[in-house]
Amino acid sequence: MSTLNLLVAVCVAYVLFLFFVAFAADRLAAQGRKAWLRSPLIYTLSLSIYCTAWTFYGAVGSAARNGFEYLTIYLGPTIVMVSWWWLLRKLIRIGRTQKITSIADLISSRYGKSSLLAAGVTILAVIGTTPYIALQLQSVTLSFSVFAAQSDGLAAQDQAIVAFWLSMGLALFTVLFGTRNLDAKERHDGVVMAIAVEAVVKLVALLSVGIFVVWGVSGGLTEALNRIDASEFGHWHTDRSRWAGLIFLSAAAFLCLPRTFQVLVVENDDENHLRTASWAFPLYLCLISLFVVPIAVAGLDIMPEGSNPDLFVLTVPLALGQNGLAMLSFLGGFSSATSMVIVAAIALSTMVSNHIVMPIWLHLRPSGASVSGDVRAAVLMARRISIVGVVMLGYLYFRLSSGGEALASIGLVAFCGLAQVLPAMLGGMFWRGATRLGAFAGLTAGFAIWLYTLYLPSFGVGTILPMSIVENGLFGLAWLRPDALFGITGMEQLMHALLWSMLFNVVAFVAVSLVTFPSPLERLQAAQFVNIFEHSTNARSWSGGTAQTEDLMVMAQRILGAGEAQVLFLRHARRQGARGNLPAPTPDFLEALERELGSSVGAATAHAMVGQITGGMAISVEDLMAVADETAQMLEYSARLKEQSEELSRTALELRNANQKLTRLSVQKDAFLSQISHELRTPMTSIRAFSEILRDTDQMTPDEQSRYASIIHDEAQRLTRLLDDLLDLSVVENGQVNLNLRDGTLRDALDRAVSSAAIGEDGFQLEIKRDFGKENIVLHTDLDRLSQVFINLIANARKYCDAKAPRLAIRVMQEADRVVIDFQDNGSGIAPDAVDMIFEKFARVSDQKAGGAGLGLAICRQVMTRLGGSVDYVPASRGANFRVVLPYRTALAAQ
Amino acid sequence: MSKQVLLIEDEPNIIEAISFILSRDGWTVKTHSNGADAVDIVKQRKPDVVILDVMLPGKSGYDILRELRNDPDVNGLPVLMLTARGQTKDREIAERAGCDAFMTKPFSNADVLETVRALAAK
Amino acid sequence: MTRTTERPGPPTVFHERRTYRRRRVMDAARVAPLLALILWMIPLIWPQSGDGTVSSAKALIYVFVVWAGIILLTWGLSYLLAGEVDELSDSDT
Repeated sequence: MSTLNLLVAVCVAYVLFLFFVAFAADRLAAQGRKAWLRSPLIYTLSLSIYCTAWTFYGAVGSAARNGFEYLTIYLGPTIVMVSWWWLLRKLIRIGRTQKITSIADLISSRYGKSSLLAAGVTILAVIGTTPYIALQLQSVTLSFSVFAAQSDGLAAQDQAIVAFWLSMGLALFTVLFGTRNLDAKERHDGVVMAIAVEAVVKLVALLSVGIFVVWGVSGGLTEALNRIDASEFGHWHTDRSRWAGLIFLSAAAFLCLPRTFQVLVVENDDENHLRTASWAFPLYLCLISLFVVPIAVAGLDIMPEGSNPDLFVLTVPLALGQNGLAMLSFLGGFSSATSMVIVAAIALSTMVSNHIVMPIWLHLRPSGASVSGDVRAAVLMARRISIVGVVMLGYLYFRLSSGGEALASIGLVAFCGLAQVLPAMLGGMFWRGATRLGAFAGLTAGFAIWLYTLYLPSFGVGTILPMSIVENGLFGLAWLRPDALFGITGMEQLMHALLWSMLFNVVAFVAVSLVTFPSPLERLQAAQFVNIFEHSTNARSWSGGTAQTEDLMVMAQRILGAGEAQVLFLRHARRQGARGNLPAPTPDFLEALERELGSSVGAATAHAMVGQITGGMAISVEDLMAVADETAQMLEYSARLKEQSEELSRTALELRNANQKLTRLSVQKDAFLSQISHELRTPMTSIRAFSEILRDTDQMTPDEQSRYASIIHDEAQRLTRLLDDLLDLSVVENGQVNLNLRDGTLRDALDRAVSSAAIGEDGFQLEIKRDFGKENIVLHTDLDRLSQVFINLIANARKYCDAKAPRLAIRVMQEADRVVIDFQDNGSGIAPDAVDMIFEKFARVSDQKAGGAGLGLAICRQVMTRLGGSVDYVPASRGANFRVVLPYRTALAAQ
Repeated sequence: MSKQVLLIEDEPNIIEAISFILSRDGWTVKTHSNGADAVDIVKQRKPDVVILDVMLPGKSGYDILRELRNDPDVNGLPVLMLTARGQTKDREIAERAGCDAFMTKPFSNADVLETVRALAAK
Repeated sequence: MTRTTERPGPPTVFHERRTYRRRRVMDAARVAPLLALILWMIPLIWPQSGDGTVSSAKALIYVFVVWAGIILLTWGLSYLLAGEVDELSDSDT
């Protein structure tokens, strides 16, 4: 009992240690110190999840029973690892870029995100893995009983208790560290670290026992080899079909087992780790299997007839009194079992919750509760329940199958079941023609045959499969006997099942794929999977491997021009220190070149061009899409160019107009100078003439005198007004005017303007129509200047309106952010060709209609600009129509 | 019978001033203030001297002068041109059009009187 | 006084050779698993009865020597392929 107690204590201590390791690793990861946690070594060690208790204990047992056959279980994965360059690298790249969370997710994602396929693979995985978990529980209880046998033995009842508490502990560990975070990438730093530690324990334990056996028991390597030859092994003797078949099976299983897929693909942190694992993991497998035969030989030698060879790893050291070594060996087996259960539970729970529980939950959930936190919590809960469910399922299986020989063979049975995923998986990775229906057909066919010929019979004839079917075949058809399909007998059961299931699987997969047509999503995913390297080149970087610098030069010259291209190439050649004047096509250079070209022809086009020269890199869909984008941009660009050229011609037209205007203006300016001269000289003439008359003439009546004096006075005032206008214009134009901003209503300003301008000096009165109601707008502006503008407009109407009964309508309109005041008369308006001239200073519509000096409107426009508004001539249905616009910020509604 | 002067001018104050000066000197002053029918008026009145402003509503003084010179009935009529445009090119245009005298506003009353007398004496 | 004309010449042979070598290394990496498979299938042709049977020790040594060789080969290839993993497209398969 003391041994057992010690064993329990060691177990608990070891488990606590693992908890601590996982916890510490999670903490470190949370702090961002992942570099060490995610090293190639840890990755390699975590792959050892492949080696379960079944291999730890079972390899020796298998060797003792079947000779060298056990080696196949390790040779298969070794070949897979050696295939890293063309197989695993692609698988991992797909996993990373497609954010694959499990093998079921991979299959589903490849075949158009089919949830049916995902659920199917998940069920297959659960069916295949549950007995495997039971096998781990059995191995631990068996190893317990070995130690217990030394004291009082372990009752079956106690075995169940051990298995129960073990499963509870494992479920707890997995829930704790497997569902801490809900990552898109499903990485579990703590778990992986614990698995790596357990991998070391496994290896050290097995190596220690092996070294002890070879050097401690057999007395050296040569001696050990001699003993092998002398033992039952004798000479090379294995079943040839099993040798080849099991290598294939183990290779397939290594790719398809949920737990190995989990660590190999899902937990992979860096593709570069694969480079190390490609040789390091085969080394691990090699070391694990190195001492299996010597231990088996020693066991057969030492142990009494009939003892379980599966437990030689434990019993041989115990029999030789090496309790410490036995304890280490026990821990190795314990590690193998626990790590398998933990990772299998994580992998399966991910699959079950993602592909079975969540779809059902989302389906059943009342609509509307689509809060993300809600779903997150639900996913985590589903994950936890799935973990406990998976482990408990294993426990139940263990209890129901009540251990025994049936369980021991379940490892290969499970391998064979999960290998059914292989055709769909490889086909999906390398064959674009693989379709969802093909995958479904292949999986179904393979799964059904596996179930019928291997899985159900593995429970023992008569338990699930009735004896009648086994003996007479399904429906009494002899060619449907589960152990001899199509009447082919004499094949060993596993090989028989493997052959037929894989054959039908592959044939159905290929045939159905060939005749069905994939959906667009499937085709897209197929292209993404099969051409993963074209689609996921990191940041579209180049490996200059095959680029022909000369070709690049030719192309660059064509695009950039000879001189510029040569300078570019020479510069890079110098930078690289190349002897010639052509640089090596390094990624740096290619990227630089691509940038240079890209600035001429667009990035995607440049990438495609460089790609074609640097070794026929296929143009990916993404590239095509980018090219399409660029084409769109080009079109846009050319549209812009067209627009610009239109604008240019518009500008040219404007310039021509402006030139004409300038020419006209120049003429007008001359005319103006004449005009200003005229305008100044005319009143001066009167003044001079009458002043001379007053001076020189005697005998003038007082009436005459006062009349002539008032003429002189009026003409002098006329001169003053003219000079005022000229000065006013120059002041306003130079922006020196000081605005006297104050509040007042628009109505007041108009009133003032009307009273001073509506009646001319000749007494002629212009009829003015107003809408006083709308004029009650409070303005904050320079009211004097505004009135000046109004006066000008009213006076113009009075002077120039050629209607018989001249009328002026002043209309006020309030708009969103401005006030518009229209001055429309009923005359003939302004001739269209004169419209653009009227606001120019020095401009007059005609020489004939003498009035002002042609400065009024020019001053008005300047004043309105200063007030933040505008005055324009707006063509109207009849008459001249001037529109004054005041911005609203200086105009506030009165009401 | 006093000699007749026809004044073609549109500025009322200037008309009044010239009328005053010439009538004091014994001239009969007729006035007309529109350019359009000025030639007809000249042919109708047959004045001894014409005083013609350049800037007139309807027709410019130069055009009127040219028409007068081309008309055999009145082509010998002495014409004094008045202009408020003081530039030399205005004088050139006037002389080319065939005026007998040219004066720039503002003028001295005595000059006007003297010139009109001189023209009438031709 | 010499005048060197800056004229594009053929690419230097060195780079060509390096590229060539790199591609052959990739070829080797692709063939390696096939080699392993073939070597481990050799036991299938060993006679299992009568004369010329292979002793267990020798068979064991054969399997493990192949194993070691494959590990060394893969190690060498992975060493040579360093830096290619992230970058190189696999379009030339």
